[in-house]
Amino acid sequence: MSDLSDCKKEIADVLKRLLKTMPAYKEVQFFMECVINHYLTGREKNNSDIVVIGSNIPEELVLVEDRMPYWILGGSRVSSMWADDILPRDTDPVSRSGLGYILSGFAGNSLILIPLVSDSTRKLAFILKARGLKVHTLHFPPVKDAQSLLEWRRQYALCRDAVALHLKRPLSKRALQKSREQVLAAKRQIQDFMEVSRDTLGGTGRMFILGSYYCADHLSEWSFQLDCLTEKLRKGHKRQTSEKSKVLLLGSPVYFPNYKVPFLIEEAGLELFWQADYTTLSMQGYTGLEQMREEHEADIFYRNDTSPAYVKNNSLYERIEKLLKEKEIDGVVYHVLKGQIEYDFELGRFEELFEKLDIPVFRLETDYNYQDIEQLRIRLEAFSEVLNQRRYGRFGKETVAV
Amino acid sequence: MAEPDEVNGRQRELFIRKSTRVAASYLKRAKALSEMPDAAKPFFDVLENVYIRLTDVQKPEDMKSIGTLCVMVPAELVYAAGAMPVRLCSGSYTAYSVGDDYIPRDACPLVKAVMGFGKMKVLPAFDNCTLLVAPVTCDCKKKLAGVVDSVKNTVPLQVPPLKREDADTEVFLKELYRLIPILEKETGRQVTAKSLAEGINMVGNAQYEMSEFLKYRRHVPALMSGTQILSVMNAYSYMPVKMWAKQMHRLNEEMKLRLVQENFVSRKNQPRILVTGSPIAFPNIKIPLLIEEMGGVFAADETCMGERGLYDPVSVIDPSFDGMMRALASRYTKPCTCPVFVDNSQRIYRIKQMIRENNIQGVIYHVLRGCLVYDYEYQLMEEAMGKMDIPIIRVESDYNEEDVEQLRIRIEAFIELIKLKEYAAVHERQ
Repeated sequence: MSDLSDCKKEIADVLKRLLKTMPAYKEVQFFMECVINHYLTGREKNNSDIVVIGSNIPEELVLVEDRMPYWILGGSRVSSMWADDILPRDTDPVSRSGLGYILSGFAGNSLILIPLVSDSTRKLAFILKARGLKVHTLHFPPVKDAQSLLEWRRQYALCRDAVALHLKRPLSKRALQKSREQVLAAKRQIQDFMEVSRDTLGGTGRMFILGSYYCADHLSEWSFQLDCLTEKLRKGHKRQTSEKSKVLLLGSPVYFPNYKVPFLIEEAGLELFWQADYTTLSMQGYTGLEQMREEHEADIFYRNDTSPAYVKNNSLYERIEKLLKEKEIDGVVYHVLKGQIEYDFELGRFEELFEKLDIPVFRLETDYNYQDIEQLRIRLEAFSEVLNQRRYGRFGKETVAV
Repeated sequence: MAEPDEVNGRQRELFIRKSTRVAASYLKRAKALSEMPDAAKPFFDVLENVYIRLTDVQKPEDMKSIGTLCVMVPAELVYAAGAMPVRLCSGSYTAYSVGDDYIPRDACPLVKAVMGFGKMKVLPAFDNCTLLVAPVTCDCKKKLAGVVDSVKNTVPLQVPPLKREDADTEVFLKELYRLIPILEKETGRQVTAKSLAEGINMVGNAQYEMSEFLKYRRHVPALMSGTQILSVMNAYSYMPVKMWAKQMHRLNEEMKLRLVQENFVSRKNQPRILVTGSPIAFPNIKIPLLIEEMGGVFAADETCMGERGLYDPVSVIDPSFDGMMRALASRYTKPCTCPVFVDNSQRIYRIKQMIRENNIQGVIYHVLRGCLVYDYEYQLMEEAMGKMDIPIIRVESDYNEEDVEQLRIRIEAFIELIKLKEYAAVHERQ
């Protein structure tokens, strides 16, 4: 049987480390509590109507009257061990963690929504169904074309109907539009936060605040608190980080509490400048109301989706190309979680892009265990040296942090 | 320093030498297992031509080859467009080691072998395909479709992850309709109701011969070695369906004769083993070979390069063009037991059925390294086999010969276990 105390300890350890890197603002408290409630109290209460495994779902479908679903992103090392006996050895830790979490006795009466982005998500859906849980899957046609768009709309409608049936209330167009606007407002807020927090918060801290989105109970409250924090940061002191080499974290998503990689990046003297996995990009993917009016409600999500569910992940490629044009990035850490083969396939194309732009890229493969941490530290430190040397060459000795 | 072209030339030479040597050695071992029926020889010749003599597939000169990457591509449709489907899923160890440089380390070896042949351009059967239809099934095949287009004009074929509802089959139907103009453009021939019906008939005929053959395969004691049978089925990938069916008919005649003459290749009490799991593509036939070399009978297989590929015929109820297309879409999704589908409980029913029909005493669950979808289903299979009191082992392997001795020991022990179990059962009955 799963031991919650290990889970609590894992979360407490990460929060303690995070607190040291965050400014002591009372506005941060809300986000801390949000995460604690989600992983500990919320889990124990076990009263969510809708559970989503993964993040890749149009949020308006699961945001019911401002109430967020229970998101299981799969970042816990402890819960990943709970599924050890059921899953094949080579399963990725995110799927392990997600399944472990559910099988520890969670979500018995909930509707579990599973976006099918990989083989593991398909098989997870079956395992849960076979155990008598109520599961609905959402398929992403792997080639984005006009025909796929129609199929995607069907998938969207099926998901909407499944949610409505489970909640026993219709999800009207108006209700969906209202939720969509709420999500939009939150995303606008997130963009503002990202701009302001760059000079005031560390990369891991920013990642944590963003990640707490998936722990919130009520979206409007979370948005309001983010607004308060952004205002506070706007007025606050700026950090002295300009001398550090700025890295972009790409590849497999990093989910709380597995902050091993971001912690290591910062400990190696690098600035975690931007995180660009599909979860984070979807949170920052701001779509104007104009576009929303012009397109079919379901299309926006599919068009912009950067998950690895596609034969060619052009959306991600274009987003990264744009990001590299807009932001000054010194290096890229390409994070591959063991078993997430899709990201490894996508690396080749990105390597060509980075080579063209003369940006060094560092492939970092790991899982949720800590055995490889010293090895990764050494490699990251060496990468940091390389980036600093390059900065030295570019800007002169005085701008380089020693 | 050598010029790049020279290096490339030398690499190609080395590649050809190594890959043909491996293929020849496996073919020789398969032939040597037991007295091979004369009618099986043409199938072995085909494998020899493709993998050792490095010649193109045997087909009319004006017929184009369309490469396919798994059993989800309807061969009927390709024949209807006037082309020949060539299944490019390969088991070449040498191509795998080349593909390893272009495909991520943890990807499955089959995908690497495909990429390896694409890069080396030494296999006419691969190189002469003007188009590659790549079904988007598992993660590796999905991403391969995005990578292999650098060496071959590729069309991804989307496969729905669910298959219960008619709406899911409809998704695949639309994909097949989307494929038609692409094939027509490639071959310059139109897919008509008549050509489609012909295509369905041709493949149906091959399936009929196959079903007849399977009756002989079920016979105890065995009439032909299982590894040789798998090679015959592998040859289907490189033969025009009419020719394959014709040779299969001859083989069936010979099997009939063998049965009458009681010309068996095994003893009655040899352990009968079913192999299921990841595809066993020529020349990677080390597992069936090991089973038979260690005294077992490779009595049945539930893999996509074997019986599954030719299992269910297309059943046309409505003979209109759309009716035939619907029948195709239905045949290639509904009875398919590929683990890429969310709910694949059908596969367990199918294996249970095969165990009963083929008098199976043990199951070897083959997992190619990186083939996660099959690995996921192992636990369910283990439970089902436990209930049937059928021993099962999971055998993980790769495209190289380094693990052969380890596999040999495990398979030998497994066969011993089945023998002991049978001995105990007989003893108890007495």
